[in-house]
Amino acid sequence: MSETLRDIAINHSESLVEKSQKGDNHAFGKLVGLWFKRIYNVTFKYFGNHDLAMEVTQRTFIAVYDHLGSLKDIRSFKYWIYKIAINQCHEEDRRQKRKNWFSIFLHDEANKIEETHFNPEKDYQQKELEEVMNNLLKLLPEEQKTVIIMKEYEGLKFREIAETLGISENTAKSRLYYGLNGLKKMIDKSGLNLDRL
Amino acid sequence: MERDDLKIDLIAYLYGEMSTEERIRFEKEMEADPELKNEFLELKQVRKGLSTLEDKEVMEPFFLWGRNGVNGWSNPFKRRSLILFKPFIAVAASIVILMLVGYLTNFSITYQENQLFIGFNKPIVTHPANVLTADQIRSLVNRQIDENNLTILTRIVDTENKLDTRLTTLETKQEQQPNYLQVKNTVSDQNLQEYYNQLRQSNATLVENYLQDATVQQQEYFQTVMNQFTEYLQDQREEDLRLIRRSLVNLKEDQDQQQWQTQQMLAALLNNANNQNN
Repeated sequence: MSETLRDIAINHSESLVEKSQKGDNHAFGKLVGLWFKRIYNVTFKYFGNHDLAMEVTQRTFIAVYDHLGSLKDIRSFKYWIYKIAINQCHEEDRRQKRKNWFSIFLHDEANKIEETHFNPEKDYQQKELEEVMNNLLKLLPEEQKTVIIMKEYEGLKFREIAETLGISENTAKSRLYYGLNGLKKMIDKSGLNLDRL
Repeated sequence: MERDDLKIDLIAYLYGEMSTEERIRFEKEMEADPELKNEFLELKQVRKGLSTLEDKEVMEPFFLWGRNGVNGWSNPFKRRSLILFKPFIAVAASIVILMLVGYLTNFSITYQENQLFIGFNKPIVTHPANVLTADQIRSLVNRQIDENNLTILTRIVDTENKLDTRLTTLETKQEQQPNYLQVKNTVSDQNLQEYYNQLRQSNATLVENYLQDATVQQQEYFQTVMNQFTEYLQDQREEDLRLIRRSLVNLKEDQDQQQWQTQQMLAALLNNANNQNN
């Protein structure tokens, strides 16, 4: 993953965090501007749904604003905000599952993935492949999905993932292994040929 | 794969998080274990599939945190409201954009004569065959006015004919009964004269009787009044006489009293004089 200027700024946002902790709303606005896209993409890959991702992202920043004062080590802001985002994703996921109508919707959507999108002729196109991968990712257990997102898309080291999620490095690797294997099985079941990528 | 340590090593190798020594050792292990190597290749393919998911571009909602800072964040209710109303704000913004685009492009939708017209930039023109020209409308109006005039004229002529017929009938009836009307008029004058004379005579009689009765009543009334006035005067006179008589009596009594007193005084004086002389 190539590092952009924004990524560099994200990794060095301690001064903004410090100012925000002192009540500088302008600095917090800049912090939001820096991190919004990253958090949104984490939540979007988690849910595969723009509206849900936007809502969870906003809830994440609300939580960040509310609890920023309690962050003692500002160098760990990166892991801290990811942790909040992941927790918000888990909460929203549970909230959605509690809704019967949404459970039915998810069930239907899962069937739809298997019935519709696993048509090889159709799925070879890049956009549809992306959609299929997104939908497959959604079907993974939340702990595996979280690690995959942290590692694959956020580029965190296993040490950082472990710190963010409060688990050991080996647990993180193990979850990633099972997650990737789960994806592989679903890809095989769908008849999707990744060799042509 | 059964060994957990191999799974962990496989992931570490897959993501390049191994030291050089560990990597060399694991590669040797993979060379010796085709199943392990196969699994590595499979997971590498899965990673390739995952790499198709790219980051989405997204803008932070400006209404939550503006460029110049975070507005209204200290109010939890406001923050929740903004999130809850987000879909409504989005719908409202979409409607505004649609209206603006519609205005700028002269977008118009019209429904006329069972046809729906949707157009941009140019006014909607209906089919020429369905449009009446000014001359056609004028012609239609004139034709309608002529028809109305003809109808009214016909009715007027009918009405005149009916009136003429009725007038002729009335004249005929009047000519057939002239004597009756003349006799009726003569008799009426005589009766009127007689009635007038009778009425005059009756009125004269009534007035005469009324005057006689009134005179009698007036005389009787005047007599009664005079009698009462005479009685009143008589009573008044008697009363005056009684008063005078009483006054005279009183005067007489006073005179007698004074005389007696005078006598008494004279008697006293005489006695005094006699006593002084004695």
